[in-house]
Amino acid sequence: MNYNFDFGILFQYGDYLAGGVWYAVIIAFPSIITATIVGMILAAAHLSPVRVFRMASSVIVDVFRTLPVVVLLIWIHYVFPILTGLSMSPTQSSILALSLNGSALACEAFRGGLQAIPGTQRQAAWSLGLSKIDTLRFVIIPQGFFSTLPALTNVHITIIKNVTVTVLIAVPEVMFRAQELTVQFFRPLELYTGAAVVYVALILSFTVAMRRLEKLRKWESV
Amino acid sequence: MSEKPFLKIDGLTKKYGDTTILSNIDLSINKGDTLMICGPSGCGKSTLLRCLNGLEQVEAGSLTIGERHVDLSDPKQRESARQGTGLVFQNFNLFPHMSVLDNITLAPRRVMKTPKSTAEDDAKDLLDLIGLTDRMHAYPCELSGGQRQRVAIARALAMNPELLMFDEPTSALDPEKKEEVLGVIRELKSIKNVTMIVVTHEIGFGKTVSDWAMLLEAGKVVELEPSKDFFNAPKSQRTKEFLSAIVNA
Repeated sequence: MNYNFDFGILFQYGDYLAGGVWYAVIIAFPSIITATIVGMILAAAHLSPVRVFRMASSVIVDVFRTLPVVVLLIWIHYVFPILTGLSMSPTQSSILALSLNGSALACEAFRGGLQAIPGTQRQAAWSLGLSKIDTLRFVIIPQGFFSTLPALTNVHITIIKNVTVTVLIAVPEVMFRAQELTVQFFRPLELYTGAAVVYVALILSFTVAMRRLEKLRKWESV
Repeated sequence: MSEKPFLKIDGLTKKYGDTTILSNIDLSINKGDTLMICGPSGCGKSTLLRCLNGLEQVEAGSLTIGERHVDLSDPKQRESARQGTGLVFQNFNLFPHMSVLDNITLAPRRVMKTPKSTAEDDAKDLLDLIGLTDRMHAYPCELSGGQRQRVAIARALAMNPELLMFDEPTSALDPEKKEEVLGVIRELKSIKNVTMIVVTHEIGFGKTVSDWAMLLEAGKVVELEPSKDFFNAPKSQRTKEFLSAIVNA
């Protein structure tokens, strides 16, 4: 291997590289919130007694779960404006693409989490005379929250990782900046390793926060 | 039985598709009486309790408790059966995310709109009855099987049901824990005079506690007699076979 390591470039341009985290955050954070809320609504629609809601939910989830994120992103950023005349900034397009994809994934996480609650819980609540709404509010959702968390955390991590594909529409996040600096200084190993470290640090701190949330559960299923 | 029974079940019929699970069941029970139901697996014992609790849609049948008359085949009325009857499940089905106290007070507070402090005072009386006052802030996962079932009984009692039903309440428990739970059921009878239907194969318990005993098979009542006669001098050959099978098990 004939490569002269020079991590000095990271001392010089590390600030600039890590500054891309700001874009990762302003894209990932709204996408995570939107995906979680929309995913919850899609999961509720999936469980609804109304057939139209169930079907709409299935179609939306299937479409956005199967579309590769790159295809979705490019389509939203370059095709959507042709069709509608509305153009969005790269950041806005990225948020929309990651939210749509994330919503489909989050819906599946919620569905799995709710299905993990045995039907006997619902029966026990009904047996006591609780209404369906109260059964959801006091029995199903509080348990579903914790049974959904691990899968939902995975969805959130996927959204953060997918921020890197926004490099394709020139969002100046970490990967984009690593590429940019590599072209200038020809230091791919140092710069891409730097980008990797930045993302790992970002995602690790997120998972630590989510684990804290999981630990709030003081009970176990019996 | 007396002229006007406290609890009356008329023509209860339940089908799953083409299979008849319960066929035209009639029953009456006096206030404070305990009826024991036994029968082979799949005979419809649990389904009978679930129907009386309004958890199942039935093809025909009604339930009369005191002045309350419920047509169980009517989906709207059937839900009101839940208010007059309580059901204790084989696997307890406590709410795992709530403390013992919250498990007991949830339904009174939400369904009967009992103020929190009153509901908690009532719950403490029930905890005293089941001997678990010191565990009121514990979660179900911190309790033994017998303790969980006792909490489940208190939870059902908190709604002041006119009929309390038990679906094989001790079959998930070891012999010692069984006795804990059976002891509570005995107390309910002697102290609180609760009208009860108990699905169980604990013959000893049936002999000493129940006033009436019934054998159910293939959705039909094979024999329904005062317990003394049912256990000592069963009329039906099938009852004799069934009882000897349990005793020898």
